[in-house]
Amino acid sequence: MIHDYIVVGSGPSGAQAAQTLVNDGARVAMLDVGVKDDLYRGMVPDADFTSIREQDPDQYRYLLGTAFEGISWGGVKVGAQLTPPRKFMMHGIDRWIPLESSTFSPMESLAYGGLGNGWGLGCFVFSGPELEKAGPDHGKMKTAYEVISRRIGIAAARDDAASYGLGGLDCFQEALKIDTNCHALYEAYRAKRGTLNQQGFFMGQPPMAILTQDQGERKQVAYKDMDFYSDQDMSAYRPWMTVDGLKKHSCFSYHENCLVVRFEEKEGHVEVSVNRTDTHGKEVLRCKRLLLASGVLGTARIVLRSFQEGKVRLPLICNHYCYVPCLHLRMLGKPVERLRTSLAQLVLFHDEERTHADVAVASLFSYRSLLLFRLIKEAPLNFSDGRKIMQYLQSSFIIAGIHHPDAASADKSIELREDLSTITHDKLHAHYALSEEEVKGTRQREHKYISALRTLKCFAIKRVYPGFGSSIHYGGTLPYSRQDKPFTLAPNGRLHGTKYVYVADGSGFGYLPAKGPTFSLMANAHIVAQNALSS
Amino acid sequence: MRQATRSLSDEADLIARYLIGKSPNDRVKRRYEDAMHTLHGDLDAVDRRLWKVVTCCPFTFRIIDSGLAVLRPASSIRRKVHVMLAVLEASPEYCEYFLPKAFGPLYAVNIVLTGARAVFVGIIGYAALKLMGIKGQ
Ligand SMILES: Cc1cc2nc3c(=O)[nH]c(=O)nc-3n(C[C@H](O)[C@H](O)[C@H](O)COP(=O)(O)OP(=O)(O)OC[C@H]3O[C@@H](n4cnc5c(N)ncnc54)[C@H](O)[C@@H]3O)c2cc1C
Repeated sequence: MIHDYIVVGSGPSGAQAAQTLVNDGARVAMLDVGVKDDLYRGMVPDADFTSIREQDPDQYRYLLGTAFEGISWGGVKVGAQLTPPRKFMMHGIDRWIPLESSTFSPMESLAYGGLGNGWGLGCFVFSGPELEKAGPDHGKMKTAYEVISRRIGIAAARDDAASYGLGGLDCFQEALKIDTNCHALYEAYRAKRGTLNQQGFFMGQPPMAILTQDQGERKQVAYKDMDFYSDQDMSAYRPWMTVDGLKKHSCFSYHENCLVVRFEEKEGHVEVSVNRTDTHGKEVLRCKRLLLASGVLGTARIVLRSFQEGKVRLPLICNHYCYVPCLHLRMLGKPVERLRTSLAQLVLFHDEERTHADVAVASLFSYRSLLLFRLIKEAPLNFSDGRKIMQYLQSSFIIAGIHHPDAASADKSIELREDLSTITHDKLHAHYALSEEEVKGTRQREHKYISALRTLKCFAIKRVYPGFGSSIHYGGTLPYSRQDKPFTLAPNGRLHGTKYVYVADGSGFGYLPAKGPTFSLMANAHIVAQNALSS
Repeated sequence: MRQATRSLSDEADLIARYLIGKSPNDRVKRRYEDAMHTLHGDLDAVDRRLWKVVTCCPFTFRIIDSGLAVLRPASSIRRKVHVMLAVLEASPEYCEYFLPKAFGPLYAVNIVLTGARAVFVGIIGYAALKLMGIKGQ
């Protein structure tokens, strides 16, 4: 049997590419490893965080984990920020898609819905100058953003930051409510707006993939502050919701336990080789068009194996990231509301030149649902006094996660090397380093952020660098190119050197704006799927 | 095994008293035991020495913990305390020690004093550990 289209991966990119194909009536098979969470699903009660804390004697099972895996110790590790019910996203990684690096620690996923099971929902529109550097066509992306926004539902506000986060997006729902802590910060910003705007700082609410009005089976957000633990009312968008919907169509089939290893083009079709993760058997499936959406690193593995051209280094880009815990003095000792979300409440963009070409972003979070014990261990104090002090300070914590834009350089690359000890007989190696100039630029920018926050009576305690790869925003391995060069993509998303293979994830983005890329990845996947349909 | 369980239960009691000033209920003790069985926080020679001091003279706990926070923050003794802290936090009976709430202005004075004590004990703890010949990690 030859499938019309095979889509590899069920993350945000794969789900949206498949949706576009199915909407057009195409017959689509989705191949995915598709790890699912059988342990925690259904365990988290349908109640708000504070009620759970006050009442549920079994809360430790999902707050700390049934094997206490939520109590991490030692340095900041990749995935440490995930709560026990979200950790399944990383199951099987070391075994099926190993990666070695002393400089780069990415997070990858083989889950049903990919990394989208845990994403923070921040949906940002890339500006014209950013898209020009990244690759996708600005005009097409403008339409695609609207399509995706309608599908997933985005809550946003037309505020000071809208020209950075929301661009010209027309289709969005009412914004989320901001909590007391960030509301006070926003009021302070409004009072100092003139000075801050002059320095290139713009604050507002981040557009978020969450509903403030019911949409189909999905309910509007209930502000239970359990966003990091469960998706009970489905108000937050997760890609598995799209794939669950697609499974109801007769022209769509979902194939789990399929690790795609390589492809080979034949006359008029593509052969896709698969390792079964359940039976350990091998299979070959055939299709007329193949769309790879297995995540930037996952797609690189498949493409590198398929060309087998000896030693090839692909570029790699990734937003570098630092987080800054701050004390917001106005909130010291103040009560906080029960009903809120755990998500980013505000964003602070920095665009010194005001050209929209080189923008950094800080997402601002309040702290509660990740529990206090994680914070207390970070303070150089004894635990007993630390607990008391942190409980008092808790309502005044603001965590600023600063993302910087990134572009390719010779010092950022990946390579697939033979390794007979692994199941696929190879291993991805990554090397990532910033130039001195890049380090200087990012440090200066962080310093400016810290001063801007200080103006708002929000004082930085320290800067934490969780290491390269920790932003979980990757791109640039197979950049878009108008020239027919190997390991690049044609403007329509087709992999150069192939006739029928398209790449629908972030591999083509030759520049990563600091804003979270996932909304743009989904919009791009929609465009690539349309191009595959019309080819 | 029974001996080990009893000693973990005593340990839970000792640590909870240090953290919140009272003995934990049996459920929390059992949970702490489970957590320690699962997470294996074996003590190295230095930690064993210090743990002996803490179990013999519980009033030294704050001083030793403070010193470790500066000198050996990843010490297995701190890990034990961290595990107990997590277990207490995720138990409804003790959540009041962790959840944010409205504090009166006088409480701010209490917090400043607690902060000052923490720094003071930190210095004493650091000096004590150095005197015992313990090196940083
Ligand atoms: C905690 C967290 C917070 C985040 N917050 C944000 C945010 O606020 N905003 C934002 O923009 N982004 C955020 N992200 C990043 C976002 O999740 C990713 O950008 C996005 O998921 C990438 O989508 P993707 O579909 O390209 O890849 P992935 O989500 O990685 O999906 C890859 C899919 O491919 C499948 N797959 C991989 N290899 C193979 C193979 N060989 N064979 C078969 N199937 C395969 C996997 O099973 C998976 O289904 C966050 C991520 C995390 C983890």
